[in-house]
Amino acid sequence: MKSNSSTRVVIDRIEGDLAVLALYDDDRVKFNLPIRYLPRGAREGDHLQMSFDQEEESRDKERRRVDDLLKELKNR
Amino acid sequence: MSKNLRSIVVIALLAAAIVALFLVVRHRHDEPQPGPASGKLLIHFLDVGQGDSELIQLPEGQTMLIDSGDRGALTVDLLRKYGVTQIDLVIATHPHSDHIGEMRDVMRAFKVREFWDSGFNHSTRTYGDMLQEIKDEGIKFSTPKRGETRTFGPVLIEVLNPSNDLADDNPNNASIVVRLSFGQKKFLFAGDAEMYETAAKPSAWQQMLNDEPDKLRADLLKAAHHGSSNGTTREVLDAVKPAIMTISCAAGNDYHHPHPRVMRMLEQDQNRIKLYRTDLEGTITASCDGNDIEMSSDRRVAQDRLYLTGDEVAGTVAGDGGSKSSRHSRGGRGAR
Repeated sequence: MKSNSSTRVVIDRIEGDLAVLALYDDDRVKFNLPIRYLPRGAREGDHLQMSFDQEEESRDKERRRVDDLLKELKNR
Repeated sequence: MSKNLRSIVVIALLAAAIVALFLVVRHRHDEPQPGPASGKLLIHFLDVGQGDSELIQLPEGQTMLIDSGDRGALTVDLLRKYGVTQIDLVIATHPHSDHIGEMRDVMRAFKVREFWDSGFNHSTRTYGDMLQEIKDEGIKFSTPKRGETRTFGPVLIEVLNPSNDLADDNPNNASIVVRLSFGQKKFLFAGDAEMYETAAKPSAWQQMLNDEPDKLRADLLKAAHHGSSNGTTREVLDAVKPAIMTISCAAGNDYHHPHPRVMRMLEQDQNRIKLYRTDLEGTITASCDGNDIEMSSDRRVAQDRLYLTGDEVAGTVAGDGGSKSSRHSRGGRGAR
């Protein structure tokens, strides 16, 4: 299974504090992102490469935390 | 069966057929008559979710479309519902996706004779795909500027924005703003024109207010930018002096449309301005015979909900019983 992926997004517009991003490959897919997560100086019409990396360590840490909490709550 | 009885049955059947025919004809007459030469100007503010799209059926049968709604909106279905088979003039006010997203599909579904565009270079795939389709289809293309006019029979179209001197690099301020006049009534379609002060140049609304404020007068105003605070201000309302205002946006949108400041202003003005909103009422139709404007919409909205802000609507969407009643008129004949 792929541990990372990457896709291009286009900043269609900025509505207040939200950027409306569209996938370059399929502009039916759109989502809002608070502009503070955009690279500095990003503007409407810019194209951005967006990548995803699996963060297994982070996931496992959260899983352990949830596990501990569930145990504790069930035994209360 | 005797001869007499047979002729009575035949006469009775004939009479029934005539009554039925009369009822059908009368029923048809009650319906709005889209398509060829209705003699009325019909403007449908289409419920396309978050975005803008206005279908205009002119008195002599021509069809105009201002904006298409966002990519994935049900615009083509709605246009078919209103009997559209071809479009004489399409106007893409400006290249944001919530205004042009469905243009390519519209051009693929209907023959488009002419296309007006802002000409603002927005480097999105959606806009590029739209221009490509215009090119591939060989559709007549132009980028009209303030001062240009066009007549369709009894209807005059005046272009009020953009000027040759664009306000700034904000696509909203490059919006094509048009005013339609029919008989004694005027209709202003404001795109996403904005109102604000910048050090460099006046915004679109400021340019229009400075240059020819009289040209802004209209009986019906399609609110700029989905009821955002920079689309409708006191100066704008004072110049346009609309009796009717429409706002196009989606219930529960993420962009706070319409804005609390605009809603407070319109609530104060409720005796002067009748407000209609696609997020609460679905598709809104204005029908004009040249003297009066009659308004109707898909759904009824309680008066106490009419001035809810976008965020307040978002908070109550789940609790809205989805009252999909049949089309109705609110407030009888539209404000004069």
